[in-house]
Amino acid sequence: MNKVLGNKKAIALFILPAVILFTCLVFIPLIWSFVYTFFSGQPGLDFKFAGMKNYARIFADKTLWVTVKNNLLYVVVVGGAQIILGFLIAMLINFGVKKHQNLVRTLLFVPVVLPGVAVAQMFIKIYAITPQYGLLNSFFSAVGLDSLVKGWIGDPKTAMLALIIMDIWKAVGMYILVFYSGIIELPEDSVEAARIDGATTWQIITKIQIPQLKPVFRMAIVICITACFKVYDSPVALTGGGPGTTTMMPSMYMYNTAFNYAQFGYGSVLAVIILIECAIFTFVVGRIFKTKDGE
Amino acid sequence: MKDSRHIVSRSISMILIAVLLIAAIYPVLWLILCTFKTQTEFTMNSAFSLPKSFNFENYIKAWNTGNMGTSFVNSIICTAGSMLLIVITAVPLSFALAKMKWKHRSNINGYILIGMMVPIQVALIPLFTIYNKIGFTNSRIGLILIYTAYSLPLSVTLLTGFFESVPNEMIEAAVIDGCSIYQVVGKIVFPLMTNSIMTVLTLQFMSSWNDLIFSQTMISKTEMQTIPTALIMFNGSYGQVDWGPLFAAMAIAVVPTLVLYMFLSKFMIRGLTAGAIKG
Amino acid sequence: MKLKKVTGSLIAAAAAVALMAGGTVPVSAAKKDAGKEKTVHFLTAWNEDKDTTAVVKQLTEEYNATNPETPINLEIEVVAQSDMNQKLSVLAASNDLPDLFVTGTQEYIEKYVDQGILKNIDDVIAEQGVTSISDEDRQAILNLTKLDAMYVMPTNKNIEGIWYNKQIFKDNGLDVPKTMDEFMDVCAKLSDAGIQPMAVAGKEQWPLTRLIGAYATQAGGNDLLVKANAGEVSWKDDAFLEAYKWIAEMGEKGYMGEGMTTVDSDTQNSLFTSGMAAMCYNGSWFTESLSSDQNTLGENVGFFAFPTVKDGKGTANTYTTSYGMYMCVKNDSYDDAMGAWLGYIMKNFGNKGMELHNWITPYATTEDFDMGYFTKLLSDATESEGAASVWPEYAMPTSVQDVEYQGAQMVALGQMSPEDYGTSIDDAWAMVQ
Repeated sequence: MNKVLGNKKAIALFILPAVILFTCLVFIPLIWSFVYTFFSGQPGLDFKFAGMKNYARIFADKTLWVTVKNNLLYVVVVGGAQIILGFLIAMLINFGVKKHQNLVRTLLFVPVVLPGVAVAQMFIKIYAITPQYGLLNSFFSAVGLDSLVKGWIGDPKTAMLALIIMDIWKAVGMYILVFYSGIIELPEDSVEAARIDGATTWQIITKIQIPQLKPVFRMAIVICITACFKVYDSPVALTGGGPGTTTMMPSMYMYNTAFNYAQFGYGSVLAVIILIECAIFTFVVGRIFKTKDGE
Repeated sequence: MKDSRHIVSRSISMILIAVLLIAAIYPVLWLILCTFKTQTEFTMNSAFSLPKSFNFENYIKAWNTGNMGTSFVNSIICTAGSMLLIVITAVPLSFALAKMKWKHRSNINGYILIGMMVPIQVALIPLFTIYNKIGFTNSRIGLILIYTAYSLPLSVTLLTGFFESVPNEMIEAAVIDGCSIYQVVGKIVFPLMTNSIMTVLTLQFMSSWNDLIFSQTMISKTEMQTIPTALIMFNGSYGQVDWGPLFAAMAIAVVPTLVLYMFLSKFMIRGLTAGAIKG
Repeated sequence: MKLKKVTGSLIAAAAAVALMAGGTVPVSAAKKDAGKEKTVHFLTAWNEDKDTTAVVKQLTEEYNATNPETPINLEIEVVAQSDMNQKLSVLAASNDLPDLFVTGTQEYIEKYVDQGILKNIDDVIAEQGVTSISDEDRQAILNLTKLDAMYVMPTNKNIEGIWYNKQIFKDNGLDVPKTMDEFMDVCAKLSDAGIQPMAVAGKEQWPLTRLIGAYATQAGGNDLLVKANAGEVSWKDDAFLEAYKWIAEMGEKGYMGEGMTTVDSDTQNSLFTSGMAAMCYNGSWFTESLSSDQNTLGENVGFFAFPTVKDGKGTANTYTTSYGMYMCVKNDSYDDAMGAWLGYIMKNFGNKGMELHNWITPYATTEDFDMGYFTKLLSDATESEGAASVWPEYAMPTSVQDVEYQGAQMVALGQMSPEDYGTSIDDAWAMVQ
């Protein structure tokens, strides 16, 4: 079997198209941007070698650390919620819906499909306080919780929460899909054997299905969290990073720096920081899953 | 006793799912209702108000202003192309990473993973410079290659994750039966993975269909534009936006996505049952 | 067997897509004499039926009609204004800037001029005998772009001030306020009557800084902002602190409405035109909304300059004046054909801008136009004794501008002290290399 699975010609054939495409269009630009981190100014205009100056600037840059802090909060809450809710709802559909599973899954996936700008506008209306109370404020007003009526996206204390809820809503459908695909491919025999042995549903879920879904979990966590680290469209569309910098994210700051402030070199440094965060995280996750498996 | 508990838990699930469905669907309905509203209605009236009339003015304006006819065709070509290419490139790679035995497996895995860790905006200048030099700007094939390359990390991660759950025994059995590696992939693994591949295809469709940043950067000729660039046409000066036509344009853009997703989901079911029989 | 079918259909599909993708695309309408025709690639922020693009497009059509031997083929590319800098950066890096493009970012214009990328418009004006731009406007533009010659073509002449709902004022027995004390009094009375005094698009940040700037100018004199942008005056100067305190007071007393930082331009304008807010600080561009169906107030709208401040060094009737986004011409693309065309555009921009949008532009009009009620208000305002001023960010590097924008929201919300705000702007300036 190892001969078949170790067939060098086949391996080359399988991996080369993807690797070549990736190298040319993703990796090379990446290295190129990394080279840019040692320059200041704008490519084509006034690009000058600047050595480590851009890197030294990181430490004095207060805005950067504000965005990193915002981002970490976002990653933990949104990332965590998307994974946990995605899994729970997928299980719910699997167990709770016997007919029309496809329809339910399709409908729950709909938010993922909507353009980010449309979703942001809709939530701006939901959170609105002027000229009319939006959905949320109307609800609070109707049930007598007038103290909770506020301009959600305009208040520094609640803007982040407003963003978080919107993003969980938008993307959870995708993780429902991912977990669902994983769940339906789980072998039925282990479940049946366990039932015959008298295991409860809870035991089946925790002791058999979750462990079997480990690769799915690992994969979903990596995808979800790296996406959260890089988040750009939602905060820009919903709050523009405001009020002040309360919802500003590193990628938005990076975009502004690279293009609006004409400091592409420093912007590239910020991208490197995001990359390092993702890399550290992925490494940690890989370790956690490895030790548990004992692979 | 067991039955009544069963019914209670079932009912609770149903209610939960109903709530989730409403939360998920309401926005699409809202979007569609908005496409019938006039500018003032949208800004001033309550979010849940119904439009005064169901005129299709906004749709007509959207189609004409946004140059929708051409944009639609371009979007379809670029998206379909990238969907095809992602299957051709990502599936074999993922299989090799998940199941085959070779020395640099984890290195390549990490290599591809790096692509997922960087915000794409920073690659724009180098990428455009490359494309400009080789003449790939303003070309659909250029966009197709970009969409595929930048989805590789996600697609490969998804597929390897799903591939790992394919039991090795099945592959062993096939090998013992005398299958070559290509036969193993084609006859055994591929049919089992239909479901996951469809997932990847759906995600690929969405990210290509909705991409703005790459098409805005690489394309400057109107006849090559894709749908998202058409959506910019409704921006006025000093922050004013034509909401009616913009939402109508979005509705036009969203519908194929939904239709495709429903279609692909049906396919997934078929793949499911086939897999179950084999499994 | 299944494998064959699958690969077969895959190959067929791939071939089909490759054919379509690589296929030739109909080239945009090439005129008969391709040699004589000059193609101009115009990168703009608005679609061809809007704003400056509409003006340029229609003028080009008229020009081609009167100059059939040397027509200009205008290729319009639209990019969202918020992404314009990104697109220009990418193009500049490949030395591939478009022939004509629109930008408002000061530091990029400086860089382009340094690299000799932009055509000197004064030369074009001289060559083509353009007389439509007054010396006064030209000098103002030189000051704004901090250059010694005109390298940009303006598109608008906007003056900014406070628009008010005449009916509401009448119903509440209010007079047009001339001093800040009167203004605050008006706000208090409106607020007591349950009417929102002022609609402010706090979400977009710059409307707040415009108000701050207008106050600071009144307090510290017309050259305060110029000096501050040149580094001669700190952003913590007393005049500035007074301005910051005022905006905080406006926010605290609710004179800018509930949820001010959730309001965008559209909503701000709608609040005013629907009669929900009594006043709105806005520029000439507002006339477009006012002339549209959205305006339920009709001609019950008036305009007055930002009030004077007690013991302030500013002049009464000072209007912040700006020239819109600028059009820039690439040096390498410039030739006689383009020169003739640009000359035509500059000579007729005034007429066309007025005809299409009721715009007042720095290009003189050569015909009589019915300006429309709202533009007339503005025109009358500028004819009275007064002054023009700049806005706070006019020469700020964008990195500093962002700090100033973000802080403005926080100060108006009472979340940042005026002193801290001033310091943050000074610090941001210091960080600019």
